[in-house]
Amino acid sequence: MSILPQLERDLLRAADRRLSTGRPARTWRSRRSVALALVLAAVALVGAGGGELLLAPGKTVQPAFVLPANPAVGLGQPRAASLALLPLRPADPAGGPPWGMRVIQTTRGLVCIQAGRVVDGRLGALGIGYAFKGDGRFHPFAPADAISVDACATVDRNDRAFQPGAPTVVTADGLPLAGENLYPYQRVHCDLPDQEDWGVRCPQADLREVAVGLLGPDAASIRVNAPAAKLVVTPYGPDGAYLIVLPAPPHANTGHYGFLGRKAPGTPTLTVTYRNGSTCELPTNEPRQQCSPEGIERSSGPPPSAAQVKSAVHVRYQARMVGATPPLSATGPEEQAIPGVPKSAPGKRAHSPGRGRGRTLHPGKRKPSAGVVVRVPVRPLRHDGQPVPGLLVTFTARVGAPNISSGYDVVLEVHAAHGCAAPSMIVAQPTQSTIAAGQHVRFKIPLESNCRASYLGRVFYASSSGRYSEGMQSDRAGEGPLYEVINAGLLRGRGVSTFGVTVARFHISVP
Amino acid sequence: MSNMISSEREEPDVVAEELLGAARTNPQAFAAFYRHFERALLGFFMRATGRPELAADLAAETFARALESVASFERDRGRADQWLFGIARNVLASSYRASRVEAGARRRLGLPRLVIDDHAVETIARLAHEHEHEHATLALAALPEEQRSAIDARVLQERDYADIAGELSCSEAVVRQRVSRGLRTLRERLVR
Repeated sequence: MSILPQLERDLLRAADRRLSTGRPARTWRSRRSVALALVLAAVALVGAGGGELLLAPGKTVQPAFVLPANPAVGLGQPRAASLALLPLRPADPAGGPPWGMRVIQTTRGLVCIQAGRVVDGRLGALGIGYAFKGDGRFHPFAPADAISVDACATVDRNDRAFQPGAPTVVTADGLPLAGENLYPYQRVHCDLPDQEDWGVRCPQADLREVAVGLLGPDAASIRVNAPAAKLVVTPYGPDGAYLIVLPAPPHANTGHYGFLGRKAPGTPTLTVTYRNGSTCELPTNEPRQQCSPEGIERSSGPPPSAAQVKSAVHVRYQARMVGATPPLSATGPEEQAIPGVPKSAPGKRAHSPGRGRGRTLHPGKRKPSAGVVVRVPVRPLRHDGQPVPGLLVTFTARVGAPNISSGYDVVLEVHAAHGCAAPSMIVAQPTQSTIAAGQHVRFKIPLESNCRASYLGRVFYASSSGRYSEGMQSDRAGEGPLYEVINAGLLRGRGVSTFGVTVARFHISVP
Repeated sequence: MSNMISSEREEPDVVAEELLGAARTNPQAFAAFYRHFERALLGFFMRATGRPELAADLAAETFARALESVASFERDRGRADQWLFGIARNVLASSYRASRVEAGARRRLGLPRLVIDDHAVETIARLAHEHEHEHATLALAALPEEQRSAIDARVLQERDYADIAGELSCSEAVVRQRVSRGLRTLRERLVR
């Protein structure tokens, strides 16, 4: 018996799904990469004739998962216009191909930074050291390498994003800056500070200190203060982009045992000055010194009014629903955390570790969990493709949800018969595709119970802003990934009945 | 339990590597792989964060990333435990950097939110200490025989150096040196 049987079951189902659906996609991608390699080989021959290529091309660095083909779904597809490299070309301290970066924007409003070495106008990694077994080839990055839920920002109403990056030790091959969407084995094969654990020390000469990011249109200058270098860099363009490459500080190759959660000795400090004279630092643990998005609109615009989103909703109970999407959360009767009162109420308490903004990490601090305590009936979840009791909720969207930071959702308050092991609240997964005004929207919500119960439901529109994976850097309500904003909003105060903009409320009893 | 300790590098964990290899084509093998490392990984995260809920969340993300990457595991490039704990350290480090537990792999795989009860919370909380003891025992066992014997006699049995030296037919200085070296090695292996 495992400690977390739910996790074991969920992983088993996910493994099953991947086996049944994931393999064909990867096979197809493999074939495509072969075809791409052939094209690259042809280009290489032409390039070599022209004397332009410094390194022969190798295999393209492949992302860990395939982006949806539909540009209106999920993270979206990279916009072609955003794939060009910025003209920043800092030299490498040891020579060779310069460094470069691009700012990839997706059709769903994500902005993802990708940096690396530049050969023949392309961004990629060098097969040196441990990278690609030191094959001496140039491995171009795919745009999708950089597109992930954890490392991208969302655009503001002016298509700008704020993504400050502190100096980080990486290998000179450039591979660590391809993006977060890589298999661990495609990353680095020696130990970077706080990162890998290959049991292999990176040679000190193979390491660089690289800072890359976006500071917004109002960033005027970056002063670099490192033991070995003091210089001033001007951010580039309306995004305030920067890419700074320095030799790694001494002893940077001490590996993963080094500096978890702390600043390594010799780490450069970047002091950013904005046009209004304010300054901030990267990195810093001092909240007042953290960089804020000067010149960036945090929201994508004012939310629509209740009158604008109001729409008739149709709800139908299905005893054997197929294709229901597992809910965002299903929780038991809530107890609000009362200051000064220990949460030691009798009964079976449960903890939801992944509950929105309560789920934070503070380097060097250990604090007890806080916030809402929930009671949850412990029982198996059933989302293995079998028919389950569910609610089909449909309506016509009056207001569009144009990007990854906006969408519709449904929350159900459950009133079950006494003694029934049913959750008291179910939150459906929010919509995960671009929705146009007038579009038909459908939710298939599993009820997590066979109990006789009545459901008070609410359909609502929600939006978020800020960095997609932003955590405690900005703890303001409404910022972060949409699903986290929804979770946090519903759990706050009277959020269950008021969070978001209500489309409609409904009531249904099920047998 | 030795196969649950990640940072020892003496013996490869053949079972884990076979499970990981089989998981490419058999979902049940990945579930077995999960059970194989569950306690060790939860203990690792519990020691790192001091919070059972965070430990569970971090472990979930680590296993989800492992599942995504299972096809890329190559036995000749590393051991299964090193591979898994390498992912774990990445998850921990990037979560520290972002000040929140990452959830990308779980979202990509469609894993629902993890809910844990009191019993699991208490069990995870205990794992930190449980594995500290296991860790120390294993680290001691992994020392060279002469150092292990010296530490056993001096530290655990609290015997005099002269007594130990007489039994081992060597000088007191040699015993002191063996104890000192052994303790230094233990510190290096146990302190993270």
